[in-house]
Amino acid sequence: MAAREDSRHGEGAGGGDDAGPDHGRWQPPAGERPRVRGAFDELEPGPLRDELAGAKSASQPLAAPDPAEPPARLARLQFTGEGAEYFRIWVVNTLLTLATLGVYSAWAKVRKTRYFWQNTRLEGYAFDFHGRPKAVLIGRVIALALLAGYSLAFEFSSRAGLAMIAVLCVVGPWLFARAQRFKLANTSWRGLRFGFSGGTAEAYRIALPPMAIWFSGTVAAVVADRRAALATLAGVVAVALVPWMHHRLKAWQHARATYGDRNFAFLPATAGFYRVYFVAGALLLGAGVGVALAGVVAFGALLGAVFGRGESAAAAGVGFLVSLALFLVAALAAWPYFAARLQAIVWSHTRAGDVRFATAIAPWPLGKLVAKNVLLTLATAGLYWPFASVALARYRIECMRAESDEPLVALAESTLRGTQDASGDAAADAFGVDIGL
Amino acid sequence: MTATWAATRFDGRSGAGEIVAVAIDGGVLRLASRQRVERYRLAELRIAESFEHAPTMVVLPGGATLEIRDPERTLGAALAVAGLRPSLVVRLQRNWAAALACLVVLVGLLAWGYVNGLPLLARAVTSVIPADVERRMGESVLEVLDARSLKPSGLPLARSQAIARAFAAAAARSAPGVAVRLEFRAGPANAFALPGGAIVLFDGLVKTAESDDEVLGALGHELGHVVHRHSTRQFVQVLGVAAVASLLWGDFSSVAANAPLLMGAFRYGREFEREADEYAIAFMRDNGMPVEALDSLFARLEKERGAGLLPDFATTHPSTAERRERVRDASRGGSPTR
Repeated sequence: MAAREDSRHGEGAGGGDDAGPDHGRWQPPAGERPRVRGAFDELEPGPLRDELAGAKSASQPLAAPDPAEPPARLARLQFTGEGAEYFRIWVVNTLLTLATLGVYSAWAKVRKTRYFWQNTRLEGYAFDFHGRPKAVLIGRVIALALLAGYSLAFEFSSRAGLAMIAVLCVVGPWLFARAQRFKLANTSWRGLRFGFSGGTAEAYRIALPPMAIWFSGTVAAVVADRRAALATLAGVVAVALVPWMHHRLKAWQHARATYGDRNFAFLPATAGFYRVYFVAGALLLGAGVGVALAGVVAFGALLGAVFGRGESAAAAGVGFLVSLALFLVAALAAWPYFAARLQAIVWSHTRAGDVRFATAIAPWPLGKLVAKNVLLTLATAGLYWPFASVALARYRIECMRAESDEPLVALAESTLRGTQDASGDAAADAFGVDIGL
Repeated sequence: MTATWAATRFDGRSGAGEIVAVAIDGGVLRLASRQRVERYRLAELRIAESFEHAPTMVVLPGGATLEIRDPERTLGAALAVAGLRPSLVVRLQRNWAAALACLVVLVGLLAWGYVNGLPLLARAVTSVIPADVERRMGESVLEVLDARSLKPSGLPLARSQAIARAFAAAAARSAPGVAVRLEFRAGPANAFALPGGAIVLFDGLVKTAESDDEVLGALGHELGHVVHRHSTRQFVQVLGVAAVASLLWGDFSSVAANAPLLMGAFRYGREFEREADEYAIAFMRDNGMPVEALDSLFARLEKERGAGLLPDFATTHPSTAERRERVRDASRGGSPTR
């Protein structure tokens, strides 16, 4: 592996094995691995094949890249991390995090992010992460304060709760934009930073409507003095708009990403988001009916136990375990579908200039992987978790493809934006918030 | 004669890289490309911790970067010879023995935190939670229970008022200044305490008890939960377990992260029951009531029912035998301790 790495390590030579010397366009949908080499091999020797192979003689073995071969137009991401190595990193990170009551988690987060980025390669070059642990720590303190404020405010008074919602609406969009900026501006490839060009005013325009809808149920419940109908209506509207909100935020995240002077773009996919949410919801609902039945039994038995009939305790325990198991199954069925399909939609609608993206991630293999990860993690009292993280990262990363009409090496011609500094976006350095979107 | 490594030098202003050869020689890193040779003191470089299968990333002064290929993993040794030793954390995580030792310490720390640390922390956190917040928590729990499952008490008003009066007087003597409120509801032989001082007494317990002393004994036990703020501490402890679990396995699986939480909820029940029993014994003595009444109540309750799931008065862990043993010891011991 290492030796091959070296032989390939020229400008733009070789992406993944499948990418090879391919001139043919690989088409989404991303359901399966591109079979470009096979298609090429099947061509009979002749002018067409010679043309496709460029200057290279058709008798040469196609699998071995050589300097004369035309630059790739299709590239897969590669992942070189290993569970055993990450296990040791995780153990040390976790111990220090626990021993410092969570303070070290910022340093742990940076090390973890660097581990996964540096082990991710595109066109033979690794990504890198430059975020400062102290910035992550400040971001975590801010996020924790807001979270604690929000969860406790309603315990004090309705007015405090509403004030906290107002605070969240004021700082939320700004924090969201800062989080994107921190994440992207601290990530680099080929020594050039990614970036996020979404401004503050735009952040409010994009993020405020979803936040307002999301909180409308709570606000209605408080303001309308617990008039159930109004709060329920607001809740239903909010839930019905979740795919729309998710799409709105995701589209903005991707549309405002930059790499050097290259702007990313995002093609609208609201209908796709709704489809994925709908099917995943139906899967969850189907399994949920079973869970609910077991839950009713468990709750009834639990009430029996509270009021003192001993045999009910055992029934409650069994009912509880059954509903937990069913919940696991439901989550294992719905989540991989949701995650895989959504990723596929998001990436197939993302562009970076004339570079297109796609992911071959699919529900079934993802589901199998997640099921294996969950079972082994439970069976090893959590020790498998770092191996699980690496396995999941490998699958997700190696499913990614970048494709372009122009040779991908053109990416290397990206340059710094006029206003930027080579050492990165100073404002993005101040603090980093994790917002899991 | 010095070892060299292949690297790509990026100027940070464009994605175009330049292939260079890197050599390390006496605290100096030398970069040689076709056009020129650059020299940097190692001290002015930012050399990132490198991983087994990843290139080593170096930031040069001015923001240019080097991506050094090191398939044979020889760069680290060369840097060490030049006086650049990796940090302690990096050395720990590169070494299996050290990492496994860290794992042992981690497990030990978790076990200690679970058994000793978390209860201490919960006590400290609970002591700063305002009484008002606690009362609100209790009220909302009772509201939910009333709406879902609890029915009004069927006791004659005179009877419940007599119990309430006797308990209020005893509580004022035993725990002056502690806000406590008695709520009567229909239900089996049981009672439980909510955060903020509400004690719910079920009709069944009043009917099962042979004397008012026995009822007051049960209420003394619940008063113990109130005085020690057990339900709030329990709540904080469960939150603590959840926080640690999400630190360990967060963003992976909420189920994996929640499993320890369920175990935690049951583990702490016993400690608190024991504390409340001890409080009940002192409570009986303070008020000149026979401690034996607790023993006879336990015996009657044991006959009537099996195991309870929630930490409440009639819970069987610690086992009734053990509880009765302690109560009998206390009643033999005689004179009031407080």
